[in-house]
Amino acid sequence: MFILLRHLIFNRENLLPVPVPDFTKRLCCGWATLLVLLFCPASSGYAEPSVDVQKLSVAIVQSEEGGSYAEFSDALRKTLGDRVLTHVEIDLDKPIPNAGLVVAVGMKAATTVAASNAPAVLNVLIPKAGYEKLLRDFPRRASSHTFGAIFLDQPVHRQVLLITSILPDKKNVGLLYSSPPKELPQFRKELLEHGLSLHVQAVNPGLPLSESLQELLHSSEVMLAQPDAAVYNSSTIRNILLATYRSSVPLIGYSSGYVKAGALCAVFSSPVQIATQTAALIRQFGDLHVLPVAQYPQEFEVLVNEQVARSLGLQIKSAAKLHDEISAENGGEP
Amino acid sequence: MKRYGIERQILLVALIPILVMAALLENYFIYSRFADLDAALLERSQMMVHQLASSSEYAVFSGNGALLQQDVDATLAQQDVSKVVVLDAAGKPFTGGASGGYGQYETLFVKANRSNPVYQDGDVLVLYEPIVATQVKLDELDREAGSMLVAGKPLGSIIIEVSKLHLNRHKHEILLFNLVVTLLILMATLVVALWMARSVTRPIMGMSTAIRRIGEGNLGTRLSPQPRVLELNELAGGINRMAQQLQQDRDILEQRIAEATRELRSKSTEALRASEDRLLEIIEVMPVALFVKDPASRIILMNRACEKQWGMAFEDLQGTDASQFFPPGQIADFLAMDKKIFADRVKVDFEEKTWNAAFDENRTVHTFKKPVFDSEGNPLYLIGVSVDVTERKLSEENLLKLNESLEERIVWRTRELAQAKEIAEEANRAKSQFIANMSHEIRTPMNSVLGMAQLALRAETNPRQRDYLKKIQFSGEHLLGIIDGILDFSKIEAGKLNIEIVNFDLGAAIGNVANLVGSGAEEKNIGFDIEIDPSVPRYLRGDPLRLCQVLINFTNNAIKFTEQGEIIVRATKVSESESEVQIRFQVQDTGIGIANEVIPELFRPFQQADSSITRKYGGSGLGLAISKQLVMLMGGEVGVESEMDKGSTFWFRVPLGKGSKPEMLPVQDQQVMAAINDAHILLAEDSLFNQQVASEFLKVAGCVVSVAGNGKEALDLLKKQHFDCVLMDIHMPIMDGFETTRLIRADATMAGMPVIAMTANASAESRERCLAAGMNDFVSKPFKAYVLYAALANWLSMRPTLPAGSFTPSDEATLTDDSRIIDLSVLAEMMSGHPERISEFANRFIMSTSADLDEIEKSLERNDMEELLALGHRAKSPARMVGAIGFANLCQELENCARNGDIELARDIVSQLRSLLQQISRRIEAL
Repeated sequence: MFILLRHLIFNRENLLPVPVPDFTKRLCCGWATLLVLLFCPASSGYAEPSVDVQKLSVAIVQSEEGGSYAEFSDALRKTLGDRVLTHVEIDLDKPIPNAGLVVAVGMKAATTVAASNAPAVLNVLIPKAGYEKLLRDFPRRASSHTFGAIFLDQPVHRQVLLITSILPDKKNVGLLYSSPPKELPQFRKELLEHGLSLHVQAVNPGLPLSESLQELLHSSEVMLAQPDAAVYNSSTIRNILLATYRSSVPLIGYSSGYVKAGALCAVFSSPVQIATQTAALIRQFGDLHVLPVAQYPQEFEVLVNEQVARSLGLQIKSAAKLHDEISAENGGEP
Repeated sequence: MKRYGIERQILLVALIPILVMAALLENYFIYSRFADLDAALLERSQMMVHQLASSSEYAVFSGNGALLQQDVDATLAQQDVSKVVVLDAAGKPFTGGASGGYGQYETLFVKANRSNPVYQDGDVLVLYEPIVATQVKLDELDREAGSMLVAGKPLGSIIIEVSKLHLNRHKHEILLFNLVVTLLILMATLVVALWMARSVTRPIMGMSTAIRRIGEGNLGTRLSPQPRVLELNELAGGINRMAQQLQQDRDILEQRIAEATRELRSKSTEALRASEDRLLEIIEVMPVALFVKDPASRIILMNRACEKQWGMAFEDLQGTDASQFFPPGQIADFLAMDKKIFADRVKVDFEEKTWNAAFDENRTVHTFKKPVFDSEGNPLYLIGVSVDVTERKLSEENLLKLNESLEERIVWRTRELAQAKEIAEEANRAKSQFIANMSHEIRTPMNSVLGMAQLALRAETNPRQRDYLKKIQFSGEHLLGIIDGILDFSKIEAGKLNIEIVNFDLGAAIGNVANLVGSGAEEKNIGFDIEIDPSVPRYLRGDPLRLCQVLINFTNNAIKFTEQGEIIVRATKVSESESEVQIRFQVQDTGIGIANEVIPELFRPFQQADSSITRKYGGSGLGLAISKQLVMLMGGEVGVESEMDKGSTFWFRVPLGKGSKPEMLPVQDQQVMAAINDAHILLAEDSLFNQQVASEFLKVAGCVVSVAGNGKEALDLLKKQHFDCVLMDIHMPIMDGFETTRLIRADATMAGMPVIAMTANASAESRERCLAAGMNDFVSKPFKAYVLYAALANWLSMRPTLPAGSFTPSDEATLTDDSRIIDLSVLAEMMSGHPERISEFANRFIMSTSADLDEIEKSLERNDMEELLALGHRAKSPARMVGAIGFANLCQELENCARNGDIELARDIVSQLRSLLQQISRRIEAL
């Protein structure tokens, strides 16, 4: 709820019809932050940052202009106030601004910033696999404590909790992948703990996707989608969804887009939520000068496609309820 | 035709635009309709294929054949879809996804595929559509999460074939419909147009009929009004008015014509009556008998003269055919004749002997009878005219008798006259011959006398002897002059002198005169002037020879009778007409003058002023008479004015033609022309053309030409007539030139005849042959006229008559050819012009030739032909050398004579030689 409120407040600027100069924004951000700090209870999870956060210079480097990146940046700036020096889109001509901490938004920015000599980098809006790739590609960063990340991915248990919450009756979960994801064992374990069995199917590159899909659908009651471009992409999503419809097997997505496309539901974190988390980490960095270990997003949202639910003839809880349930069961860090 | 014309035009005007418009519109509409239909089909098909593509997406993705089949069937169920093939991503057809036979899919795939998705031909439409996975929009977060935007690879493709059968059928229907509609419209238009045309042409036809009727004369024709067409109505109204007007006019005209006719009739009746009366009067007055009979020969008219002739009154004969008054036989003839005349429809006239009952005598009448017919050709009446010719016939008979007797008398008289003429001609010929002979006879010894006198003069130094000799010379030459004068005079009398008409230069002629007489005047220290008035034309036509002769005569007289002062020769123009001028010549002197009493006698022959004149001045007394005759022959007048001791003016006036520049004959050649003028030439030539040419040349020169076609003819002619010269062609049939010449020479009567050969072959050999045959000379053909004239002149010098000679003895100004005497240019050339050397040489010639001549004369006396021949020959070349061509030629002649043994001729020649030598020596002395 608080999150929602905060979200509302922070995002209010975006509702303004006229463009607002930075200075005003900052001012508003400052006042908003003050107000929030005065009136909002402490957020869950993190300790209040110390005042020293004022001395830190932070630069945000976006992979692209606009969209989610801008959403994130705006939110972050609002939270941090005038501490944020520069706001840069990834551009080969422009050098990474000299800042105490660079926030890299998106994989492109993350790659570029990692390659630069920014002292501390916090990578956000990147998948876990992506972060692991960065670590592989930039060992220097890997060994530092100033190379953190907030994943896009949701932790496994959260995803499993979604399944159990929304479809308590379904026991068989299907997973279609091109190559087995790293979290596969975790999934299996987690699902098992909840009394669900995992069915997996690898897509045979020589055969049509639908065949592998059909195979899986035979044995699954619900399908869980994982980021896997070879399987789930703009071209295939619709047909996969259709296939699942025809088999009356609901598909759990991993983004809002998926739900809009026709997945039953999904857990995801919005850029704003990530920004909040980012701000906290920044404050923490300001104090400690180290970044915590790369982490999953803490705040999350649940989105449900009720039309799909109806089409599939499913009675399901509302998104809010599901969120509460998941939050309640999900006590701490993954 | 008119109907056709308007109708056709209206039809064209109506139809053509409609046709054009219809065609255009239809084309457009059909085209656009067809296009629409095609487009609609295409659109529908495309929609179908799109739909199928999207609807079969999942089926293809999932490989669900049954699902696919549903969609496919649904599509196939659509109208016109004939084939549907669904292919997978590899391009292979799905089992159960196609209908209508797989074998076809390959053809379809060829027609429509990815690169050519739409294929159309006349029968089918083939469309290709790829089946593409529907893209789901993913945001950045999805992308970051790893869901990529993947370009839609085609899951498969669909090809459908749409049959155009229905479409085409539909199109045909449209076409047909349009066509039918168009035709209907056209026909409707046609009908309307025709109707419109008819509505115009029918009334027009009616009008034209009406007009025709009016034209035929039905002026009452009227047209009904044309309510439908305004213009036609106007036209109809106009025609009606016109017809009415015409009718009115015609009525008026008819009235007037009737009036006029009445007037005319009455007038003409009067006129007719008047003319009838007049006619009758004329008939009555006519002195010849006139009668008119009807077709039955009854007498219906007789005039007074007829009554008189017949001795019967018209009253008695009127209406009868006169049968009771004439003998029946005669009557029958009359009647028969009348009938014939009517039948033949011709006028006749004939003489008939009738017996006149009234006078009881036979008369002869000349009757004319003419039948007259009416307009249909029926006989109306017969006109007869009768003339009593009895008296006339009698006279005619008498006349005939008289004629006969007269003719007899004439014949007899003619015979008498012919005889007398013969006698007279004989006498004349004898006279001429006598004169010719006499002159010969006189001249020959005269020449001797003169020659001797000259020689003696040269040798004699004693002045007294010289005086005697001079007097001998003077008298001798005077005598010669008289002879020449007599000959000329006799010639003129005989009318044998011909006046030439040639172009000549007056100035040159007068100058010539001056040349000849001038020295005489100079000797006596008398001035000599020539004045030619500028108005006198330079070139005139006339006889320059005779003109000069007269002038010379006058001037010589003037010189003779003037002691001091001057002589002026004048020529003035008296009058001028288009073709002629009258020129007056006068010779004015300051001499002794002539007494008035004497003047009338002056121009008579043998008159001189008085006998003392003769004694003092000499002269033959013939000069003036001859001059007068010459002037009169030239058609002029002659006269004299004089005052004693003051001077005289002898004048003559002649008409001369206006001439042009005379032919380029030098003055000397006038002498040549004079020499051959009047000569009788015998032309022996076989070629007609050459005959003509030579005759012309000769006639122009004033010769009298006779032509012989061959030698024999020539000989015959020579025997019959007198000729002065023969021009002998060499090659002639029957007898050639050589033979003829030989015969001529053999005949004593003509042995001396000059024969000039005309030869085409100018080689020395042929020349020799000519000379050997006895010919005197030759001219080569083709010859120039001048050459011929010169040759003739040369050889005619032996002719008895010399051209009119001089009248004064003191000078040698006779009209002799200078170059015939001696051509001094030859000597001049030889001696390079040194005069003293010329003289010397010339004198030497004279001496030697004189000696030769003595010898010649001696041999002549001896009749020594051989000697003569040799001497003649010898004398020839020196003469030639000094340019005494004439002399040389004479020598040649002499040779010929000697060869032929012609003594008489030889004698003549020798006498001429003498006189010529004198002339030469005189000429040389004058140097």
